[in-house]
Amino acid sequence: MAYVTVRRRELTFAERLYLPSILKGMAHTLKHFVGAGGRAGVTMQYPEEKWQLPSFYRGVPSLVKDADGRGKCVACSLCEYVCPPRAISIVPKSIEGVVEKAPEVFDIDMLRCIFCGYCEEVCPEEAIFMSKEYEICGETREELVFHKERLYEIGATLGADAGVPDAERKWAKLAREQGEQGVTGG
Amino acid sequence: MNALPVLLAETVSDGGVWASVNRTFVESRWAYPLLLVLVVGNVVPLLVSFLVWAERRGSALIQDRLGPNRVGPFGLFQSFADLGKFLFKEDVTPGHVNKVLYCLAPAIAVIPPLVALAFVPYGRNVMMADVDTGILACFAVSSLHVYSVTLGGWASNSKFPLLGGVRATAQMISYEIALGVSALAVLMVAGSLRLQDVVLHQADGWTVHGETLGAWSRFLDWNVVKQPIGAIVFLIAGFAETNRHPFDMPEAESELAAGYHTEYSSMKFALFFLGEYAAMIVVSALFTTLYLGGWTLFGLEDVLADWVRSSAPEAGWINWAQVVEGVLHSGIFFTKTLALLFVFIWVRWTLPRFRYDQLMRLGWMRLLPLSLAWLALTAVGVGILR
Amino acid sequence: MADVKLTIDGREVEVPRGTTVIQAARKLGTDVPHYCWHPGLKVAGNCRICLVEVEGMPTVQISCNLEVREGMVVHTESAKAKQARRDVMELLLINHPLDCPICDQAGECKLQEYSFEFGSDGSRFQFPKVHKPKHVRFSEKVTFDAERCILCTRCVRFLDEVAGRDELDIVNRGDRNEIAVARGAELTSPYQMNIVDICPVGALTSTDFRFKSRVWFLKQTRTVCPSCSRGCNVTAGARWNRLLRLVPAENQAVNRWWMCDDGRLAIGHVGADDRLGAPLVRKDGALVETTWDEALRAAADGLRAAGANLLALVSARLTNEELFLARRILDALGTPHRDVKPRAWERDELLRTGDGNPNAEGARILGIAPRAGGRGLAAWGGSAIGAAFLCGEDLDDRPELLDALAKASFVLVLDSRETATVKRVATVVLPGVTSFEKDGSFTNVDGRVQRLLPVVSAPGDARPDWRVLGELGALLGCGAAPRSADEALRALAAAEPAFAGLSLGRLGALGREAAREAAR
Repeated sequence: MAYVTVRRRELTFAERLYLPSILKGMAHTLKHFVGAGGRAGVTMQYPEEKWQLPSFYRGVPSLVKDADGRGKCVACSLCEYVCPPRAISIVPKSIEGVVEKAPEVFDIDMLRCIFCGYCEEVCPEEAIFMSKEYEICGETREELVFHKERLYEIGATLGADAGVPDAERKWAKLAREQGEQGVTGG
Repeated sequence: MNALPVLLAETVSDGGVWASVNRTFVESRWAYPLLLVLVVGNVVPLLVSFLVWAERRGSALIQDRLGPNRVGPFGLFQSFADLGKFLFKEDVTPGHVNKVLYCLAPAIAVIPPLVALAFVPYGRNVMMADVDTGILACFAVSSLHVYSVTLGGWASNSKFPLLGGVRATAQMISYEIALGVSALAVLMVAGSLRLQDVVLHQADGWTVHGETLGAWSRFLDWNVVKQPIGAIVFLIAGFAETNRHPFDMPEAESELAAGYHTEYSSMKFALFFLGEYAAMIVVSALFTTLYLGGWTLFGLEDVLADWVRSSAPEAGWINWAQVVEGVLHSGIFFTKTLALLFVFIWVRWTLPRFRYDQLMRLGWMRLLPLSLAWLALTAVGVGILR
Repeated sequence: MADVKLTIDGREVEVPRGTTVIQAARKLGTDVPHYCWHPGLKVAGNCRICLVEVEGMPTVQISCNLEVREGMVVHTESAKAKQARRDVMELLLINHPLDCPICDQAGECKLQEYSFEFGSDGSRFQFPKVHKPKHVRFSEKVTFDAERCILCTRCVRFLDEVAGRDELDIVNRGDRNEIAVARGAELTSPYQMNIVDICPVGALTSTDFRFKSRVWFLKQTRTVCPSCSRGCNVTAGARWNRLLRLVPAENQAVNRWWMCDDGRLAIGHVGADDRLGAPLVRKDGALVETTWDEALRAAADGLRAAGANLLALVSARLTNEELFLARRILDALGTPHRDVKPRAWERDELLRTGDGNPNAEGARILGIAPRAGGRGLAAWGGSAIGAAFLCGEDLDDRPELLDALAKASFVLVLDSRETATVKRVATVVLPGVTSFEKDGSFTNVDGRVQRLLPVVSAPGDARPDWRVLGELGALLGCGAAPRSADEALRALAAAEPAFAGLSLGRLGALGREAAREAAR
């Protein structure tokens, strides 16, 4: 094999002394030290300043209601099934009306949640959305298990302008068509 | 030492039993050192807390960040918040340690540097212990600092602390020689082991063959001018002695987790922290004393006190001229020390860490021969010029 | 009948004449998609999903109603067959609601499965769907959703052919077709809940299990129904350590595909509030919790003191192993007074035997009955009772016996619940478990030994009865306590010719016949 011997350059005395390089380095850091005021401005002063969150930001998962104020979740438990850290626990219940089922208990353990957004992805009713909320803290473990009411509260912060798509409105459509065809809900 | 009466006017003697008790105490040989111990003993930890803040803010600015800026103005009280945290944290003593040595090590980290500061002259009359062999006492006490690291590493009974402790021991012993030899050259020039003499020697102008040169020589009288090589060696060895960057091998995070204090938590860890900064203060104070003229500033140190003495006659409780002089002297001294401490911080955030073999080679094969050669050169110089 | 040879998907298979193609395919392990066809019901041929291509036939054929012929060449996965099935799926789904999120069948729905397998990803149907009644009450056990129904008529045929009650039929015409009960009537069949199981879609749902849990979360365990001596094989579904439902598991030798509603719904005792979670001993008239060591010692002391005078009532709801261990103790004490409490149950031609003791046959084989000179349960009321052992049994329904037992000096009760018997007469209580919480085996009415498997874990400190009886036996000097139910069964097999050669592993999923003749 042909090979090339790369000879290290002989260092000059000054270089071997290191001191000039050290001084050069120190001059550089001093420059930053003195002139830091302006550049340090890039540091975000967190509680006062906050990020402009991108549209795809995934914060605390939340439950939303439809235009009629009905909680959209029907307790199908797909989110519970898909949740990788098993943060979600749902107990369904039977309710009156066109939609027969709703969650009795809908808990998300925020100590477990990894904000992956699978729950939002899998939801067939478009009832669960990742909100922009990220400041969550508590003093007990229990406090950080978010119950149904809290999740609807956070969901309410999304508002209509958050672009919660509700074009389908299948249950309302079902109720309307049932009415037109004279079929009762049983 | 009976300096406190100097600070106080004669009016103290007037009236009553209380005054006489007072007077007895004031004139005793303990009173003034006690006062100084109180002052310095509180000032040093305060200085340490300020230093920690400066270190964090300084490093932040060097790295274009802001650093702690929340607790108090400019984040000045950050260290007190940290202290509170340290105090209330759980003090974990691992089950596998040697309990006695484990608890002793942090104490040894703090006490020697504080004791060493007792021998340093902060002003003409501001001194806790004016010992004839001041420099030796200072070295003797401060070199005990190595025990804290060694014992901490040994008592922790786990691998990283042990390695850190062993490294520290080797490192501190190695560089102590260069440190001592370069200090020896200064003593040779000053002709005294008393630190006050070393300081005064740097303020009285050059004396060649018994003749004092002109006033201009006072401005060139600091040892840093007369002993440039010694000063550099002393400074580098000082860095190594305090385990500061670029010689912080004993706690090299990337290799040894936290080195000798890996197993420490809560206030015990805080004491190591305090000790490290106190040791930095000691080295800076010594460098100031040995090479930067101590509390002197080319004669300016006496101007203000003289003005007070001449304009305000000795009246009232306190001898203002003396107080002003003391404050001025220590002010000058601490300004120099603080500037040096800034250099410590500055260097830390500039230079990368040495490799251990590089560290040893530098200590034994460069600094030691250099300091010995310089000592010989100084001996010749002193012989010729005296 | 002579065998017929045919080729399905390139593989030859030989089946008896008269077999349908779908069955022949199953013999090869090929499951042709089907809704209306059920091996236990007559062929209806109305869902049309089981279409296969047969060489030489002009159109695709429904495999469920096509008899095999010699030399037939069938393709179940040919492009033509697949396309035909896809088209049938599209037709079936035209009016099917998008109910999956709230439909209990989701997860075990054939419509979902086939739709996922070969359905299209959208609907071409542009008009309003036909709507039909939802959540209709068929009875208190069965809820019906007409929209989800694909009119396969499995339920109609089951009630007619198997349950013998022609209670369901199809009413209306065209796309208004729906299943219905007679106006004003409800389903009355004691086997009606089987239509929930055989419904291939979510049209028929169990009112009891409705919305309790999605089926994919259930931990499904095959075990045996403990409600009667038939020993129907069941698949128990549990979640959150709670038994939520029983569905029949196929066993042609016992219950085929079915089970009765009473057995299916008799699961409340497992999660009951009055389950015993710790051993109790009576001190100064009140039962207080104690440790197992102390309770077992007190039990052993009491039994030893009673000796041959002990009246023992051993439950035929215990497993074979437990009965064996209990008999070991009674033999060591030398008492002839042993009996089983009879338990009445519905009786009919299909499954229900009339005997509510699931292991009545086991108790009979093991001879749990009064010995010469022994008092049977019927004679308990005759004179004063000194000491008694209620092994897995209670006498809540016999107050006069409780009165007598209340005067006894020692009454040991091993049971899973805090019954009135426990509260009133027990001096030492050892908490056992239900049949859904332990390993073991039952011998059914036909002498078939079938395996139980634990479905949920027992509350508190309760222990499997076989373990309790084994340890109690060890304290009484009957030999070492078995370390597992299997070890107990092996000991039983060594001691009883009827069970010779059996172990839990050898029982397999379907059980084995006990050699009853050897025992006689």
